[in-house]
Amino acid sequence: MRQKSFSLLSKFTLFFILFLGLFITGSVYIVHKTNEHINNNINQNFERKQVHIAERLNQGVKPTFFTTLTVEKTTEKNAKFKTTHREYIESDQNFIEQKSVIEAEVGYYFLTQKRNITELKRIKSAILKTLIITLSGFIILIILFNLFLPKLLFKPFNHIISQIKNYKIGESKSFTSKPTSTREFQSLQQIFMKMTHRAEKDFNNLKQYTDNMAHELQTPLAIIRSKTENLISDNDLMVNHTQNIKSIYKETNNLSKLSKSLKLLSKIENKEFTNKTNILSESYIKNLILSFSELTDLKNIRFEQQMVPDHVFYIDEYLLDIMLKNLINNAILYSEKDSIIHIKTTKTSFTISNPSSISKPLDQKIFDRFYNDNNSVSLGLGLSLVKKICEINKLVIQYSFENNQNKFTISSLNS
Amino acid sequence: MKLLLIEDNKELLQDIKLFLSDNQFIVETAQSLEESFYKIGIYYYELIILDLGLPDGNGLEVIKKINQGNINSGILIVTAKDSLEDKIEGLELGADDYITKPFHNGELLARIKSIIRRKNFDGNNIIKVNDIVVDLNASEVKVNHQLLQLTKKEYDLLLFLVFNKNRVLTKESIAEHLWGDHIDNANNFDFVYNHLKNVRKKIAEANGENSIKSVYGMGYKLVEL
Repeated sequence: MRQKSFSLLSKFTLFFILFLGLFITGSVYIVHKTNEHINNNINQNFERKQVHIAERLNQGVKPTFFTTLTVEKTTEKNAKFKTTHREYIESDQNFIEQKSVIEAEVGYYFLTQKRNITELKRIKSAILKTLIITLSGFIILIILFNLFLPKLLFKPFNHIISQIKNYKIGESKSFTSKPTSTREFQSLQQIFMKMTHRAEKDFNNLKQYTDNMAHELQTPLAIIRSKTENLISDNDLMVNHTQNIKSIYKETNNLSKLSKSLKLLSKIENKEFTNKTNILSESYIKNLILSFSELTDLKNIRFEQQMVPDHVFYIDEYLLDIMLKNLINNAILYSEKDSIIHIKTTKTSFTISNPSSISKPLDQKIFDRFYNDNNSVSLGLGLSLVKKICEINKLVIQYSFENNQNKFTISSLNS
Repeated sequence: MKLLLIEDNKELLQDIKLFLSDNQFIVETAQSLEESFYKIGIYYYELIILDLGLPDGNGLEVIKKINQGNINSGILIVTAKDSLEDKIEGLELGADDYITKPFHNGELLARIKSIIRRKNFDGNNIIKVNDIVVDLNASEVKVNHQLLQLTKKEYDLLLFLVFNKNRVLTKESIAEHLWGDHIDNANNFDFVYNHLKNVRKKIAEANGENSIKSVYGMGYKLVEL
């Protein structure tokens, strides 16, 4: 089950809403309790007065003697009368009136009392107002917090996140740290910087190592090859040694080619071919094809060209040379006798296709280094080299199998 | 023929020195600019083979030094495969030819002999092997006084064999000599055989001796009969 994810901010907001809920609950409780307290106060007040009045009546005071309240004699019938309260306003003052029945020794009396509760009411509304204002204040604060504070507080954090997102090893873009006073962000930055430094160092070391290897291999290989050639040239060479010498020579040559290609690949990765120019492909390719005439004559292979005059390659010429030679060489190598190789350019693409000798498509793995279907004789670096050259020049190479033809197309990255 | 071989890699130095000595050259060596300047100051060399990547400076300084001293040595510069600038600068400064590392021994031999010949035999530059007569100035080959109609590639091939007479040349080294970089990725050397076949045919048509021998599985050699 996929883990649900929430932004940090929404989690904070959730908690705030929770606390707000608690606060509202608390406030409601306060208001309720205040009201209760006030009401109890009023009731208790009335009840105390009732006791006094009963005592006075028992002492023989006449009901008409009382002022501000009304006392009327009543019968036992009303003994179970339920006490009522009524609030009313008179001359801008709030009053509460209580009607009840009291039982004195001298009989039952109907009592109507009233009390000025203006102040109490004021207190109640004051409390309510304060709470409402505070609550609203909090809500507004939370909204503002959600809108403005995150950008501020999380700025360094978001900066770090975007740097991490865009980080590519080996690209030597230095990590710019934003000064921040948040300890967590500080340590995040530090850790990330340390980590990337170490990764870059390791990466560069490895690259250096590979570069050095590719370079160092060349001399010993040259010497082996030279000695082998000497043996081959030796007129006194024993006949039963020739097979071995032949093998050694062949494999040494293969190694030599391999190390040359690897050296080239590492030079390309080191961005040593930055002399890019716009090269019109039509005449360039025509010249190139001429130089292959020996090879094509041997197999009686023809080139059919369909080129537009405005197709250009924006690339270092050295690399273009390698790339096109590679593709043309492959096309010739893997075509049968009497075939036709098609070369076509449009404004945005270059295509070379040759008839397939095995009548089924090649594996897309042909662009991997050292991929070799068991039938081929080559070393397997050619197409990966072509692919790499395309990559660094913002080009894309695609292979497709159409009409029994192996088709390679180079177009620019955005088209 | 005294040669000065300037190369900083000790193993490579010894290897090339041995090879050239086996081919009748007297070889002295230098492994740095300083050593090179010293030796050039004192001795005269027919040809200087100069590796440009020296530890204490650019090998091109040697050419400049030679120019300063008005010395008449031939200069063959050894460059890395893809340093076009070195090649151009070296040739402009006055080097006679260049060869790229790594090279076949046969290639080295051919270039050395070519430079020496060009330098020494201005008027009369002819090589004779068996009944084959090569006029280097005119780029012509005559067999039994009959001019052969050779294509450029066929001429280059024959000359390569002549310079490396009695040495077996592998198909790879011939291919690289004739076509350079194009051949890098091709594994089919039958076209070498094709050209060789044509050369043999044309020599036979001029009633020449069959001096180009195939060494099975290895390559070809021109045998001095």
